[in-house]
Parts: sequence; structure tokens; C-alpha cells
Amino acid sequence: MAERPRGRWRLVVGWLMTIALVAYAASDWKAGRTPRAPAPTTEAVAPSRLRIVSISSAEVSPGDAIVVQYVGADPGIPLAVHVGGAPAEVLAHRDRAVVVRIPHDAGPGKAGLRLLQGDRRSKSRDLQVRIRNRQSVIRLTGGLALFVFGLGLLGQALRGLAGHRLRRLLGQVTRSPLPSVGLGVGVGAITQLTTSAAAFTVGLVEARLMTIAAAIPVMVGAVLGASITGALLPVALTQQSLLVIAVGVLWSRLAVSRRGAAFARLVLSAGLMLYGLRLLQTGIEPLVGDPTILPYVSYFRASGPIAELTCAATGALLALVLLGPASVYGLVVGLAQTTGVLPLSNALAMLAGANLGASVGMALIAWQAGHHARPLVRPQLAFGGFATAMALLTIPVWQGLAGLLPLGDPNTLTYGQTVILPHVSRHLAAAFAMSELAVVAMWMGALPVVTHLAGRRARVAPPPPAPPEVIVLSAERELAEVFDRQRAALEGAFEMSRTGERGPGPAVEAALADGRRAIERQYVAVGAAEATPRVERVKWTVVATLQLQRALEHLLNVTELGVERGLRLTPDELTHLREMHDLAQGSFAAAIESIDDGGAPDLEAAGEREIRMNVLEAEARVTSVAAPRRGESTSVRLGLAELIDAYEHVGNHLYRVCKAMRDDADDLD
Amino acid sequence: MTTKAEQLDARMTADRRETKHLITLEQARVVASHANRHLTSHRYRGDGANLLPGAHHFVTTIYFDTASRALYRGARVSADAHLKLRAKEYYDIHPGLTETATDARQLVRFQPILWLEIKHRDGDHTGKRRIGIPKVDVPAFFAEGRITPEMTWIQDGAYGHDGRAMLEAVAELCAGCGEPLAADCLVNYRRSAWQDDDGELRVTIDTGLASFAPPADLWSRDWALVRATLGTPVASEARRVLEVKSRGVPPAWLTEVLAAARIAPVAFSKFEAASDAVHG
Repeated sequence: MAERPRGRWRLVVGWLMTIALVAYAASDWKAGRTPRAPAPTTEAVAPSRLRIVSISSAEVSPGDAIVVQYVGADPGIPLAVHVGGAPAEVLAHRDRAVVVRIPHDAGPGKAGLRLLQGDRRSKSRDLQVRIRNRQSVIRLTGGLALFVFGLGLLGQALRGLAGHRLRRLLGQVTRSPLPSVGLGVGVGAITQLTTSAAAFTVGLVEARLMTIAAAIPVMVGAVLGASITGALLPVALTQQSLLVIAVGVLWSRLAVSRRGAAFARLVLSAGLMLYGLRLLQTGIEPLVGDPTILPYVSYFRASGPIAELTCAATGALLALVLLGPASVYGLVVGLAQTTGVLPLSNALAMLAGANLGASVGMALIAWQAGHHARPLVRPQLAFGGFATAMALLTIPVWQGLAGLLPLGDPNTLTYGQTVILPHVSRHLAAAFAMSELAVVAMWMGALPVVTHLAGRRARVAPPPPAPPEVIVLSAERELAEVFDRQRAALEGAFEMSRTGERGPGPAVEAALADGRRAIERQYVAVGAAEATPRVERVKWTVVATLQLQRALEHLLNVTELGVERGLRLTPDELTHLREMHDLAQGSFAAAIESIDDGGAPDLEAAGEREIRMNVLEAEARVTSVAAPRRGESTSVRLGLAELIDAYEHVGNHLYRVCKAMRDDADDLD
Repeated sequence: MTTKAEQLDARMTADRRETKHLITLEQARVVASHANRHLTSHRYRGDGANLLPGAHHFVTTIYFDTASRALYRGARVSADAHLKLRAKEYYDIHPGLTETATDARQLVRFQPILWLEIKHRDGDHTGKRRIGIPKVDVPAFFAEGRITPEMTWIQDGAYGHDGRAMLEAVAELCAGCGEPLAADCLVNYRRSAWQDDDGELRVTIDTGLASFAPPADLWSRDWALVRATLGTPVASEARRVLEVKSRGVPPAWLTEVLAAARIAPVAFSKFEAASDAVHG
């Protein structure tokens, strides 16, 4: 009860800080989107000296063009520019300004930019040269890593939050296809990225909070939501990902309950995923906008089915790498209205292809997420193919319908502006939105069949299992290897307790992780086998081994904690622990030997070892209640008690394993 | 006051038709699976019974004979009409308690009472009289026919006010052997038992039969006659012993199971086998 007021205060502090953070960030949003005017130079102009007044960007990449403003040049003499001591190409020269291309062979790091006119030289201005592709690769790698980490955290968070009420709520919302699509549209609209929408949905499926049948329309809705809102509201939540991370960390520090911690993890995972995606986007965009790539854009100007298919394929590729159709839309609109190289029909073809690319990305998320979400792969790919094909085939229809709307002439040109086709974006938005809505409506018609097929696939039994004898033999061999790994892990844990050093820790963890994977694999294999007495016995053994695994994992945790607390064993305590350790190792050896010999462990001997372990644990318990020795903290004393107890648990489970391995022929009743 | 289960036990014990079969593990499994389906698993539920789940039931039988092995010889001469005097100690082992035990004895549940049985056979019909005697009272009972109040109290539970009369009858029967009776051999086995609801049929399967010479501390020990404490067995039987005890004609399902599993009755005596093994 004493915890309650403290918990309430934490809650209040959490909310206050969250509101303050959001308010602070919100106050900056508008300012952040307003282009800033270049700061006027305060530098005194001395016409007699050649001097650089300003440069358009101090951070450049090889091949970039920058504008250099200067004073003090003699109009009659040619002006040269050196970057890093080497001559740079002057692309244009106007009054008091030159456009300079950074040499393609400029190395990364600082490089001085200097103007030269005959014998006259300006003072050097530092440029920071960065290798564009290297930066992009670093961003891509880091972004992907954050995204994957966030995805894992999201799964944990959802499992932590999963309860009957949440299941019921989601069950009610996704009971019929239309609300499911609505949920998907909402998720797609909020995240603007189909990959994060897929990650959210797949996380729910993996946490058993959503069925496959409900997830299929949610995923389709997510594509629709990300596409349309991407077109209508080009606001990316990714820009605020750091704020989301801050809120997540804040709540994880203030959480007082398991549920609260799970909620904090949910926010944090969302933030990490969004930030990861932002890094991915910012890593990819420079690659796409690279001057060496840009000239290829003119290929999209051609007309006819081949050109449309090329555009669709490009759109698919871009949606795949840009993690959804929203970014593709931005890119397509930009190209269409600023360059004029992309006709409306080809732009629509590119957006049509984005459906396929987004769906492939979502399918990949579902594929790697796990066994339960995997049946989502085929329906999503089918939707992507269907949506792209239908949108491609109906381009003239949507183009024509958009033409009937009062949106202005798409071919109207404005000169002297950045945007040269001001009305084309409206036509594109209208045609694309109508096309997407129609495609999803058509897909909804086919949804019952798709859901049925996916459900059947999810229920389809795997290929017939091997004969029971083969499965049993294989499982027994694998169990012997698991025991060997567990034995090695136990040895390492004992060494840690003996020396007080963490040295063997990673090897112990690796051995236990391998062991767990092998046990889970065998559990699935044996579970699928035809039930025979021998299969049943192996099944019991696998379950008992899983429990033993848990006991060993706990022992490792307690051992690590002991090392952390500085637990040092006295010779007597070490002798005590060694005896328990040897008894446990004896049971491992008996289990492995019995598998090697094709027999079963001696249960009486296993029982004797277990009873001895119990005796040792009981003795140690008596020592534990004694007052701590001089210079020894209570936590260290408790650490010893916990360690002995963890060993005794391992002994219990080893006995259960031996018992399960023994085919009790006399157990008839 | 006896319970219904005790009444059914007494009824089954008093007079029944009994056949024995030596069977393999596979045959035992077949019979057990049918018995589990048609009958109820049977265990002692009387006063002081161990009712903890997961028990493995064991029996150690002490067979008595004279120094000249009169009872053994009698049984060999006429299998159809002979007398057997034996004492049974029932104990349970709970392997499930191993995880908490600090002594192997903690796995064992037993009552310090020996159940003295006088079994007579007439053809394939057998009858048993059974009396409970605290283990500490057994030597004096055999040597002097001494009956203690505890012995009477135990018998009253099974036979009402006729308990003392029953004890005196058994003491008289023992005295009638002419020579003093003493423990001759021991047989230990694990027992699985099933019984129908009317007390008309009981099926038992005994596994792990092992014969022992009587240990030196047979009467002085304060501990159960647990197999691990009886020394090295002088003989053991790999096959299982199936016993069908019925008050009428065995049910059709059982007859069919036995026929299908090719299980035929045999003449087998645990006493004779153990006595042979002990005395060579």
C-alpha cells in the first residue's frame, strides 16, 4: 500500500514531462517547416581585396555544385577556383557569384576553397567534404539495425500488454473485414510507412492478439492509408521519432508496474523503428537524387505500354527501398511538377507499381517475423500484384476522371518558378486516390476467398513426418547434444562462482541459447510424430529438458548476480558447492551415457544424487540464516543462499529428466 | 465399523476362484490397458491407508515354514489341497517425493503391521483368513501364541467382535503344525491391482519378483521391508505374474483378452519358487 502514493507521483511527473516535451516540440514544428532566409553577412566589404563573402553550403560531397559569392574581383580577368589545392570546374559565372562543382576526386575531410584571379588569391574558406555513398550506407545500416531492434522490442511490449481485454477489443474491431481495413488505414496513415504498419500488424499476429484472417485486411488497409494520406497529408511522423524515443525512455524510467513498463517499451519501440526508418529514408534519398542517377529519369518520358511497365517496375523498386508508397508519391510529384519529364500517365504507372513494392516489403516483414505471421505473405503479395495490375490497366479511366474535376489544366506551364507544372500534382493526387480506393474495393470483394485460402494454408498440415522410430532416434541424439551443452554451461557457471570472474559468461550464454533452440526444435518434431509409447517417453523427456534448461538459465542469472555483488566463496562453501556441482554433472553424464547405450538412466542412482542435493541445500540454508561474516554484506550472504537454491533446482529437474527418460514398464495402472 | 471397500475386500478374500499366469511385458500391457478400461484401480483404503497420489505399491511377503519344511513339502505333494502361512507387508514408494526428500526413507509410506494370511486351496478355489499383527508382536505370537490388545483391536476393524476368536483360531492352527514356525523366505514385488465395483473380480499383476533369505533384523527392524534393504536376491523372475481372482465366472472381456493375448493359466507358487531358491 505504501507504494501507491509514490506510484501516483511518478505518474504525475511522467505526464507533466511528456506534455512539456510534446509542447516544446510542437512549438518548433511550424518554425522547422518554414524555410529560413540566409543570414545576411555582416562581414565588411573591402572592394580592393578578393574575398569570399559566402558559400551556399559548407558541407559538400564530390560532384555537388555550390554557389560562391565574392567581392573585389576584377571583371576583366577570368576567375579560377581551387578546392583542396586542385582546380575546380566553374559551371556558371555571374556578377559577384560563381557556381562551382566540387571535384569528383575530392577526398573526405576538410578542403579549402580559394578564388584565384591572376596573382590575386582570396583567403581560403573551409569546406567539409563527405563521401555521399559512405554516409548513405552508414545511415542505411544504422537505420536498419534500429528498425530491427525496435521490431523485437515491439513484440516484447505487445506480449507484455496482452491481456484478455486487449484481445477482446482487437477481436471486436477486426471481426469483419471493413473495420479491419479501417484499422489498417489508420495505422498506415499514422506511420506513413507500410513497413511499420506491417511490423505493427505482424507483432499483433505473433503475440496472438490478431488472427491471420483479421490481419489480411489490416495490411491491405495499411497500404491504402499510407498511399492516400501520403498523397494528401505529406506529414511524416518519422520527423518526431526522437521525441517519441524520449517519451518512451521517460516512461520506462518511471514505470512502476509490468504493464507500465510494457507500455513504455511500446512507445520506445515505435520511436526506435520510426527513427530507424528516418535514417533509412535519409540514407536512400541522396542515392536516388544523385546527379549521376538523375539523367536516367528522362527514360521515363517515353509513352506506351513498355514505358508504363518500366515506370511501374521503378515505382515498385522505389516503394520497396523507401519503405512504402508515401515517399514514392513525394518523389513522383516532385519529378512531375518540377522537371516535366514525367507525364501524368507514367507518373500514375509509377505509383501503381508502388503497391507491389510496398506489398513485397510488408511480405518480407511477415516472412521474417515468425511462423505465425508467415501465412500473411502470399495474400499480401497477391494484393500487391493485383493492385498494380488493376491500377495499370485503368490508368486512362482515372486520368480521364481527374480531368473532369475542376483541378486546372495539368499541362499549364509556369516559367521562372521551381514548380513548372503547378496543376499536375492535383490531378495526380485525385487520380491516384480514386485508383487506390477502387483497387481496394475490388480486392475486398475477393477477400473472403483470399482469407479462406490463407486460413487453409495456415492450417495445412506440414509434410508427413518421418516414422516415429526415426524421430525418436534423432530426438534422442539431439537431446544428448543438449545435455552436453547444458553440462558445459553448468561447468562455466561453476567456474564463475569459483573465481568470481565473468570470463566464461558468454560461452555459458551461448551454450544455453543453443540448447534452448535445439529443445524447441525437438519439441516441434516430436509433437508432430505419431504417438507411440517411445515417442511419448521422448516427449516427456523433451519437456523435462526444457524445464531443466529454465533452471540452468536461472542458475546463470543467479551466478551473474553473485559476481556482480562480489560473492567470494570460503573454502567450506566452495566444497559444498562443488559437491552439488559434481552431483549435477553425474546426472548429466548418466543421461548422456544412457542415450549412447540405448538404455535408460538408473533411476535409483539418480534419486540418491537428488536426495543428496536436497541434504546439501538444507545444510546451506541453515548457514544462510546465520549472521553475515565480518566485512560481508547481507546481499552477499543472500547471494550464496540463492546460488545453492538454484543448484538444487537444477538437481530437481535433472532427476525429472532421468525419470522421464526411464520407460517405466511396471507403471501399468 | 467397516467401509464398503473393506467389506468388498473381505468378501473377495474369503472365497474365490483364482488362476495364475506368467506373462511378458507386452502381454501385461495389453491386460492392463483392458483392466484400466473395465475395472477400477485398487489400493488399500482402510484405516491408516496411504492415499497420496503417484504411489508405487509394493508387497514383501514372508513365508513361514517349519525347520523340516513341512509346509513346503505339503504344497509339493498336493497342489490342490494345502496350507500356506504367510505374512505380508504392504508399502508404497513415492518417487515424486524425491525432489524434496533428504532421506530415502521419506519416499516410503508403510504401516508397521504385518498381515498374516492363512491360505487354503481346494482345486482352483482358494480361501484366505487374514489378520493384522503389529510387527513387534509377531515373534511372541509365534513363540507363545501371545495375543495383545493391539492385535485384537486391528482384527475388530475387519471382523467385528469376532476378532479375538479369529486370532485364537490362527494361533491354534499354527500350534497344530507340530514344530515351531519361523520365517522361511521372502518375496518382494511391485503390485498393480484392479477390482470391479461389486467385489466379484480382482486382477493383479506382480512385477519384479525377487526372492530373499530372511534378513537377520526381520523382526527387530523399525523400518519397512523395502526391497533395497533385503540384501541380494537369491532369485528373480523376469516374467510378470498375472492373477485373476473371481467369485464367479470371469467376465467375457477378460476371457477374450486372455485368449487374444495367448495367456494361459499355469501352476505357479511364489512360496515354492522362493523356498527352492533359498534352500537350493
